[in-house]
Amino acid sequence: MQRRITTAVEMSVREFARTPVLIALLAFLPVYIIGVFVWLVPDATVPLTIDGTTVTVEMGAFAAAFMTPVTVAILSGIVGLFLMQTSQMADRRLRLAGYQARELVTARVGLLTAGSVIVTGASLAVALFAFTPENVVAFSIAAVLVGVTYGILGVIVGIVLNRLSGVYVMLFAPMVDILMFQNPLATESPTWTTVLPGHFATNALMDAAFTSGGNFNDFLAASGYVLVLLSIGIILFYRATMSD
Amino acid sequence: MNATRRIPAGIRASTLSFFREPLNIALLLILPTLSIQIYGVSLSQFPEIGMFAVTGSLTTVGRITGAVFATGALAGVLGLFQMISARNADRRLVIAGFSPSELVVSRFTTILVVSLAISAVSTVTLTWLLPGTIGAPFIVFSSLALAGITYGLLGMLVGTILPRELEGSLVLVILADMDNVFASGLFNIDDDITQFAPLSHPHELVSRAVVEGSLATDHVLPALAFIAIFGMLSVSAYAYTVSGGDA
Repeated sequence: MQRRITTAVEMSVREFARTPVLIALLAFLPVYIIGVFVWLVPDATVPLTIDGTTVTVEMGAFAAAFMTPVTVAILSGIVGLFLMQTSQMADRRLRLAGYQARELVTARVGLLTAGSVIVTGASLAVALFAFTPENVVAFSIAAVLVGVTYGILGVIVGIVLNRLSGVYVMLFAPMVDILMFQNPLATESPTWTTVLPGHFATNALMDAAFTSGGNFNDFLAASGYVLVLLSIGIILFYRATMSD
Repeated sequence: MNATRRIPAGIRASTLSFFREPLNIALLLILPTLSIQIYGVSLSQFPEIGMFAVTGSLTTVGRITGAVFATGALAGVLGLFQMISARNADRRLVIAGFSPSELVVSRFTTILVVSLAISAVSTVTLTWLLPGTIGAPFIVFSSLALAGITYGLLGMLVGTILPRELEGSLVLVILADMDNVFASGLFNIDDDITQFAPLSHPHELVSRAVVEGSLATDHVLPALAFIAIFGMLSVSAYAYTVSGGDA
């Protein structure tokens, strides 16, 4: 079983590696998004509300920190969406070849995690070039959590909707959730925004960026969110793969 | 079949393939409305203490931004998928005697129809959410249509140059998201830079029409120039591609 999972992951990674344009885009787009924001924002300070505390930070540092989860969420969401869409045919053939559902699920979750880590790594490299978070490790973990959360959401959207509709949804979701509703510049966020996917991980990330870092509750809640989404994703994946 | 019959046939086929999916129609109606409302709510949570480089109500600015973004982005993604999904079929049609210009006209007309539909939904939503404050609804509708056409053509261009759904979607989503930030006017970014954001001119046209009820004449020509440039580029790239130029 272990060998079969490794083979499935290896084949997917090879397919991924055969698309140099995609790899180049995943490396370049974080530079473009985060870099442009850092370059464009005025040379000023800005008051942020993080965990009820107001801290004043440089606009450039804020842009680098805050655009990291936005970038990671957009890229991971789209990658997750297409990972699901493109692997469906292969998964059906693998199932006919005798693969169990749990083997396919494990292989796809492994690939999704790898994709999220690559996207997050590229974004972190750009962000860390522009500023130094108070707690680099916690900042990086929080960014990975954002990536995995949106990667799984992309997979779920990919199962439920077709490609065109899926891209529509993943075009709006990260921008609205993270850029608009998890923005620490906001002072009167509606209560319901705390249940959005990016809430806890973005909170943890901003906390790690500008305060002592490491609000354990946010990390715990963000990990819990990932587990819940993962469970939903696995159920939907299982049903989609086994029902054909 | 001559060109006068082939073009309507192509338009009908590609338009029907979009409207045949109930989910596409549902999203076409829901996403602009949702986008306008959510952008309005999201900006209203920021304190109006000069944090953003705008005058007037942040909620109104948010709703205008949501309308322009939804119209442009939805048309752009449709343009992208139109080009990618039809690529092989179009090559066969060229071999069968269709000219690239006939094919590109039929693809573009579909995008035009959908752009007009999204613009209508967005205009109605803006009128509903901003009662009594829309000065010139027809200019709002026309300006939103300009945003849709601009991004529809940009989507066609990206879909022609980068004919893979994942890569094309990544490029278009990032372009649309970043363009929307530049165009929103929320951040104090130099006009010398924002004038190159394709959505900035339709955004200004819509803003002026909503708030002042007038036509921002200085933005009409740049908005049309973007359409002309993207139109020429996408037709050239498409003609090159379907003629077998990229092997």
